[in-house]
Amino acid sequence: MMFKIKLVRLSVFIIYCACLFTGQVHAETEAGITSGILKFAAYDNFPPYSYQAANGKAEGIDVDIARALAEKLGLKANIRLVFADESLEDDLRVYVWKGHHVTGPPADVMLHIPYDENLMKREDKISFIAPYFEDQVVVAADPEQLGSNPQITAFFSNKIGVERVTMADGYLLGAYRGQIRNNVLHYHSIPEAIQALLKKDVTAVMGMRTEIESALDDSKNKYQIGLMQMPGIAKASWDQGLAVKASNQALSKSLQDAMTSLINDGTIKNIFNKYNASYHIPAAKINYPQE
Amino acid sequence: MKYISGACDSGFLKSITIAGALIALPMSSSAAGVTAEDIINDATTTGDVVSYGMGTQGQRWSPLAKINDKNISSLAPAYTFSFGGEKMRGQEAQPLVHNGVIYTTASYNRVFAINAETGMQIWKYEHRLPEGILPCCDVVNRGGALFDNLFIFGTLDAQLVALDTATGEIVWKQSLGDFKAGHSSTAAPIIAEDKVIIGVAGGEFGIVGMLRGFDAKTGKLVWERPTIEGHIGTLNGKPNGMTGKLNATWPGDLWKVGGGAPWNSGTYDHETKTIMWGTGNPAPWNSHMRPGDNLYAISTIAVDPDTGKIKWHFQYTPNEAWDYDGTNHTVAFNKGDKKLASHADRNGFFYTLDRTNGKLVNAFPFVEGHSWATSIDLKTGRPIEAGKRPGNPAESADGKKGSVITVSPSFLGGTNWMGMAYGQNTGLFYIPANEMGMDLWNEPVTYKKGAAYMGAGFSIKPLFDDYIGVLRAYDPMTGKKAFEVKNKGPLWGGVMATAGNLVFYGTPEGHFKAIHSKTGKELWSYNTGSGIVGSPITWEQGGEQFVAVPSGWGAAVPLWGGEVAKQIEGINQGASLVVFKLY
Repeated sequence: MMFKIKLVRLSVFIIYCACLFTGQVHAETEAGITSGILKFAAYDNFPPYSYQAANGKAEGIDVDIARALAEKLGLKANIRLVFADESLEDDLRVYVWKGHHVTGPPADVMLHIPYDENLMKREDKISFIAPYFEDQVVVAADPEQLGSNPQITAFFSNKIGVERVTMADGYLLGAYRGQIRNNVLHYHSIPEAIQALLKKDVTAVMGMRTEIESALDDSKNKYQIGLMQMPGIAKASWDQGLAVKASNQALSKSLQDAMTSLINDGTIKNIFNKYNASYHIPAAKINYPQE
Repeated sequence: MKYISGACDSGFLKSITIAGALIALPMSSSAAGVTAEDIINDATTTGDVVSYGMGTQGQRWSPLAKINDKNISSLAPAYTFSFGGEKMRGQEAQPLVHNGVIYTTASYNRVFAINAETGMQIWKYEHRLPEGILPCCDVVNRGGALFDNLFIFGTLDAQLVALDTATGEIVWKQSLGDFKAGHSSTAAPIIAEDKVIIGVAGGEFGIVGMLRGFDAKTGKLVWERPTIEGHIGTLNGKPNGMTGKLNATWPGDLWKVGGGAPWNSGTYDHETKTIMWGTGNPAPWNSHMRPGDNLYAISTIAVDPDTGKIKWHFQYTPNEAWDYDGTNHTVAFNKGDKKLASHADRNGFFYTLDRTNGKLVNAFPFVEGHSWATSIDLKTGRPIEAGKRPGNPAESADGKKGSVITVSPSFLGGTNWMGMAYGQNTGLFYIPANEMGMDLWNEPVTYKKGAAYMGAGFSIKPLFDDYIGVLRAYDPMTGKKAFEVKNKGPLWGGVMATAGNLVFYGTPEGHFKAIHSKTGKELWSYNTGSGIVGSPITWEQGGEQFVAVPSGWGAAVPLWGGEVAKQIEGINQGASLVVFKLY
C-alpha cells in the first residue's frame, strides 16, 4: 500500500502522485518541489489564523503567510484547511509525514506548529522549523467590572471565560486549590467567549493573545489585555512555526530562509496587524541546521 | 462553515446495482416489511435476525441447534461475499437477515443487500463522506436496524440514514450533529417499539452525549435525552425535563462540556419497556478538575422509549479518571422471576442489575488485571479504589511530566465495544475480554490545534506473555468462572451462543471458532483470511441453519503502538462476509 512505502524524499512521492493523477511532472525546484505547487495544511475553523471565508476561500493570518512563503519560493500555494484531531501528534502523522486512508496523502508543510524542544525530541519524523511568532496566554479584562490591573485572585469571585480544553481552562480549574473553578465558564471557541465578555456575562477571558485581540476587533481598546501573574501555570507562551517531513531537508531550508526574510522585511508583522492582532517576535533564536 | 449544509445535503452518492433500477418503488412492500412485533420476538424466531444483538435484549443467543457440538466438524463455507472495491479496513458489523436477504453495513459506510442463499449482491449503497472528515478510530460501522421496509444506520459524518430495503435508495435521513465538531456515528441503532434509537460518538472532543428517539417510519425526531446532568431533554420539540439535578455531581459549568457520549449500541427490554444504554467518559480527562461523581457519565441509563425520560441509572466508575467508558451493552435476561441485566464494563468488573430499578445484584472482576479497584461494594455499588488515580496536575505544575502510575485495565478496557453473549442453556455469559495494562501520567504541556493544554500521556502493554485476548464464561449470579480460552491477540469481535451447545467468536488472527458452551473445548475453527472484528449471526432458511461472520481487520486495534502492536503484526486486510452451513 501507498502508506507503507518508506519514502526517502518527499519529491519522489510528488512525482509518483503527479504521474498517477495528473500526468504532469515539473522540473524540480531548489525546494525539492516538482509540481510547481507547494501544498500547505492549516487548521480549519480557526480564526484569525485559518478559516473558510464567506466566499468559500481560505483566509487568515496563516493562510496569508503560506501564500507569502510560496511566492518567495516561486511556487503556487495550495492550502488545505484540515480538521484538528485529538492531539498534535495525530495531526503531524495525518497531515505531514504519513497521510491517512480517508484524507489522503500528507501536505508538504503544515502551519501553526509549536516550536518546542520536547516535541522535537519525540517526533523524529518531523522537522520543526521557521518559528514565526510567539503565542501568549493572556487575560482580557473588563475594567468596568474589575477596575484597573486586576490580579488572578479577582476570579475567586468573578466569572472568567475560557475555551474548553486549553491551557487557560486547565490552569483555572486547578489553580489555588480549585478556588477559581466554579467561576470558570466554558465556551467552544475564543470568539464565543469574547461575545460573552462583550455582553458582560463574564468579567474577563483567558486565552491566546492573537485570537482574543482579533475577536475583540474594534472593542480592543476598551479591555485590558496582557500577561498576568499566574503562579503554577505549566506554560504561558510558546513559539509557533512550521512542520515539514524530516526527510525533506531541501524544502525545510528554503522555507526557513523565506520565513526569515518575511520576518525581517515586516511582511509577517503586517499580516498580523491586518487581522487586528499585535505581533510578537518569536522567543527562539532562529538557527538553521547545518547541512 | 458554509459547506456543511451544501456538501452533506447534496453529496450522497447512491450506487444502485439492482437489475431494472427504474422500477417504481414498491408502495405495498409493508406486507413483507419487518414489524415491531417481529423485532420484539426476534430472539425466538429462527428464520430471521432483525435486530442488533439477535434480539433487542442483546443476548446474542439463538435457539437453533441444527448445527451442534456433535456435527460441527461438517460446517463449511457456503460462500464468501466480498465487500470489494479498493475499500477494506475494519469490518465491525453485525449483519441482519429478513426474507432471505442479508443486510449488512461495511467499512466506509457502505451497505450491502445480499441473497442469503446464493451470496449474490442485490444492491449496494455507498455513503459519500464529506471532504476533510477524519474518523477517530478507522472507518468502521457496527450495523443497522430493520423496520418495516427500511434499513436504518448511522454514518461517520453523523447522519442517520434510512434506505429502502428493496432498492437501497434513501427514504429519509436525519442529522445527528456536526462532524466538524467531532460528532460521529458508528454504532447500530436499535428499534424500541416504533422508534429508532441512536446515540452519538465524539466524547474525545468534549461534546455532550445525547440519545435520540426518532419515529422509525418517518425519521421525525420524537425525543432527545442528554446524558449529562443539567441539560434539558426534549419531547416533540418541547422541553421535557432536566437530566439529573444541576450541579449535583459537577462543579461550575463543566457539565456543559461534560462528555458522556453514548457511542455504542444500547438494548431494549420489551418486558419492562426500558431502553438501556451505556455512556462514555466525562471530560476533561483529569478527574481532579471535576470533583464529584459526574453523572451520568460511565453509566447505564434506563430510558422510557416513548418519552426519553430517565427511569433509573447505574454508574460504574464515579469521578472516572482512566478513560473507562461505560458504553458496553447492558444485556437483559431473566432468572426465575427476577428481571436482570448484566454489563461487562471497560473497568474490568461484571455487574448484574435488577432491571426494574437499577439496583445492583452482583459484581465481580472478569479480568485478572483490575488494579484500579479491588472490588465493588455490593451495598453501595461503588468501587473500592486501590489508590491508582492519576495525580492532580495542579500539584505538579512545574511543566514537567507528572508521576507515572501503572494501572489495569488499560483505557481500551477489560472488554470494549463488542457484544458478549448469554447462553440460555448454560446460564453463562461469554465475555470477549482483554488483559492489558497501561502507564498513565499527567503531561502538563500537550498540544492540540497549535495550543498547549494539560493532557495525559499513556502507553499500553499486555499483562501476560502468552495472551492478551481471552474468552471467559461466567455465571452472573455466583461470579464463578466456568472456563476461559486464551488468544494471542486482543479479542475485538462479538460473541454468539446457540442451543447447539456452541459459542462462536472470531480472533484478530482471522480464525472463526466454535467452542463447547459448557467446557470451552475448541470444536471447530475456520481461517477467514483476515482479522475478525465483527459479530456473527445465525438463522435458518430452507430447512438449513446458516452462520455468518464479517471478516476484515482494522478498527481501533491497529492504531496502538508499543508492545500490543507486536502481537498483531502481519495481519492482512480483507473485507468479506463468510457464510457457513453443514455439508
